[in-house]
Amino acid sequence: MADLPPFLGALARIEIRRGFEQAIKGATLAGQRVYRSRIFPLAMHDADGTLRQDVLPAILIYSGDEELEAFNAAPPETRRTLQIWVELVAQVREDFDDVLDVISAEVESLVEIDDRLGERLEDLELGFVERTEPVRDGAITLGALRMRWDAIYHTQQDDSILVPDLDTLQVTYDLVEDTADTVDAVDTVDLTAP
Amino acid sequence: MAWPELADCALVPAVEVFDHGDVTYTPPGSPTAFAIRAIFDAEHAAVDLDTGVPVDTTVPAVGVRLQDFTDVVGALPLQDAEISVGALVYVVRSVQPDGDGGARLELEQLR
Repeated sequence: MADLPPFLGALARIEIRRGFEQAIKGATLAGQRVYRSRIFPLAMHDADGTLRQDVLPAILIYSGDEELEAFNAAPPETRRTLQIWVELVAQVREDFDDVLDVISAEVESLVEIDDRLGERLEDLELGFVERTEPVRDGAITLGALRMRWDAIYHTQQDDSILVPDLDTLQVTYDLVEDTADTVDAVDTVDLTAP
Repeated sequence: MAWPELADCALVPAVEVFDHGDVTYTPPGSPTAFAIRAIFDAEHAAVDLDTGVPVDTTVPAVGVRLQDFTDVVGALPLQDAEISVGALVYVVRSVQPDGDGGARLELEQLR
């Protein structure tokens, strides 16, 4: 692993999802229709019922479960395996299979160009691909292909936040010969002095 | 009066009242479009693809009285026929007779 600033878990997940988006957006048949953690539904119709042609195919990126294992005790370091889901949604037409296969191949090759996200990751592996059955519940028939990537990375406990640097020592002396339980001398040691 | 006739008596005014007024039917492979009486409906549906986001769409369908239909078109409705509703164009995905003289045509939207 490169010597990089501490890679904290929650921020790492954001950064990994962004890394996927940056690699994929605008570079596949889905064009700019690449969404991270999308909240609103994909709207297929205008208000007058016209079928919109600019919604699909689309790509959704989000993270799933994450497994953690202790990697090092001192300094504390955790090895994490994060599931990144890349889902392709397309309208089922005659070329449906081709569209999904072309986009998934594009995604795979784009992600492999930088499969360590600039040295942030230990490894990135495509672990699972699933084609859903076409769904005919609406005005158009829809289908999807799901790809799961396993992003392996490490996080270190950020000691700079938890323990401040040891700059000074406060020393008190209580001489043995002096039976009184009192402080006989006080000194301050400055460790930052050259 | 027998049950089919009773059901048809109910269907006639229903189609007359709720007829969309701007529906045509083009049989598969035919260049001829027939203006038909039909009750059009396209309610909202959120399709769940088991992905991270649902897809907002509609469930378009037309209801027709089969006697009206055959009087105009000369045949019963067929799968793969084209239906236009105003500017919207559909293909018949499924013909679903109700057993009482009517049928629901489930549609797939082309544009």
